[in-house]
Amino acid sequence: MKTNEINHWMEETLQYIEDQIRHGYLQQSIGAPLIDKDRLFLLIFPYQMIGSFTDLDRSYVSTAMLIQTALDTHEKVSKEQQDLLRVRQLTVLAGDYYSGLYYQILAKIPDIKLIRSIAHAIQEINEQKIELASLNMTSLEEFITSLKKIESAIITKFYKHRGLEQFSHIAEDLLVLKRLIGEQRLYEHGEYSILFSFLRNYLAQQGDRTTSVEGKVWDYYAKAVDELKESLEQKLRLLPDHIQSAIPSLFTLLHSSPERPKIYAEEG
Amino acid sequence: MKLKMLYSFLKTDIEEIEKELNMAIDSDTALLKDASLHLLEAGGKRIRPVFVLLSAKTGEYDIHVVKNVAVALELIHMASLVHDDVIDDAEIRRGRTTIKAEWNNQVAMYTGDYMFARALDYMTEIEQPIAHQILSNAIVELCIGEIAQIQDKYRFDQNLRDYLRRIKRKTALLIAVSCQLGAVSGKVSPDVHERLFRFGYYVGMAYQITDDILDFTSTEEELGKPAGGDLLQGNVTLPALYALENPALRKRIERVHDVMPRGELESIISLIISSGAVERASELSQRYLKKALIELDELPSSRAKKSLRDIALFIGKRKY
Repeated sequence: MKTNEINHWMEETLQYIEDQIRHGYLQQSIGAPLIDKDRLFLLIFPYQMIGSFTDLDRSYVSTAMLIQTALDTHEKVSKEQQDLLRVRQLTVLAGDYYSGLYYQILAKIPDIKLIRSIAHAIQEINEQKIELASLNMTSLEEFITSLKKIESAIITKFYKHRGLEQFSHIAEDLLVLKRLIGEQRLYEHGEYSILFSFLRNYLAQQGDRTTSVEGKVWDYYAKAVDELKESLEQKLRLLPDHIQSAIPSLFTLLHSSPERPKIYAEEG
Repeated sequence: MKLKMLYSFLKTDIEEIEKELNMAIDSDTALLKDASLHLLEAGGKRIRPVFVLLSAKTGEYDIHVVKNVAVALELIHMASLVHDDVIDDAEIRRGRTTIKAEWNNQVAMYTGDYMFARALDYMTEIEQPIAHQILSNAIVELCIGEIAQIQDKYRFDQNLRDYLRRIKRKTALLIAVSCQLGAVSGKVSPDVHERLFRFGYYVGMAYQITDDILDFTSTEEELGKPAGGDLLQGNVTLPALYALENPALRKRIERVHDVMPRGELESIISLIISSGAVERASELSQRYLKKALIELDELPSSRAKKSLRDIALFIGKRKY
């Protein structure tokens, strides 16, 4: 019953978000944006513990999702000029449009304090993104802390504003774990991964130029993932079972073991 | 006469805004600060902050309050320019390399998003919900307008209404809300801030039409880019729209494409200019200016009112 309840709230919220962002020409040209359901779940599950999810709560959750979708959309604007001009143009504008919608909903509520909190989160996220893009970090811990801020600054500001900060650490760990696994997938598919680029640069700067650098990159990555999982498991033990089983896709991240990507085997 | 002379009595307050803009982009992240400063130092007319300040003068003027609105609107404008340069693949703006050219698209996207967030941060110093409702509605409309501009590229069957709606969203709205929000921050009555919104809207419409005319009539030196760029990029502006009414000219204009030889484009531009389309566009611009001045008539006399009037007239006469 509890699982049905949270799924119902998620479907309703998803529908509300889709209604907000619907724009015929944008969708026809670049497609509808992908709404991160794991993140949506993280925004909604605290309400299940409280036992109620009002229309106002739905509006609040939607604003956090809209701004995240805006930032994620802007991530698709490539560094290079390889994409089609019109696709790039509309991707920039779609992101701007979604961030305008977040502001519009909060202005209508009205909740000026949350507008400010989210604005602070956007500032922090973009500062961290620039730091990461410049590969300025001096350690893997620093790099992961930065990734954590990028992935969870909005959700933690949201939790704090809505008095739900006890869930912040779980969201932070889960979101950064999801990102790390996402980076691994990029790397496995031969795409650019900022994490693996950083690790390779970092290890090369350590003076380790042996043939095993690639292997060490993997060891560093696997260790970071294991540590995160361990930390998460401790925090999740405190949650009721039905929360853990509500969205398997998110929590199964915990039970997947990183497998050494084939790319290493081929290079080795 | 220079534009700045028309509001010289605001000199100290404009300097305060400039100082605040510098503080607004003072990030601990060096690259972000450099990129933001790169655009800020390129200057600009700061016309939106000027409208904010002058409109606030119609009410309880407090620079410590109104500066938040002025800085927010200039930052939103700057953020949109940074993203526009990614959209247009532009290398030069205000005589300097763009952020996307100096660094890359990714840095430009992050800088634009950062500036937008800083703008909202400043704006939240204004605690009147109506101010946020006005601004957020305008931002959403502005985005819809920009999307429509891309959708309408090389679409030669559009009408006057399409054009006017597009320039309203693209330019006039932000000027209109600059005026309205300045007045709201000065705690004026709704009839006054709504009047100032209409004033800004009419001025903005006149401003954009003039801009579109100048793209046909100015020299490359005056524009800082080759004349006729709008048409070449498929933006059907008012002079082109009027010229399309002529069937022979229509056939020529409909053949415009982005890699058209310069000589052929110049020949079409000459035909558009000699068709009387520019004069007709200019007449419409003047009609908007007249409407703007009528809105001002109802406000009590003041130095700010005179400046708003002078700026509107200046915009009507500008040559580049």
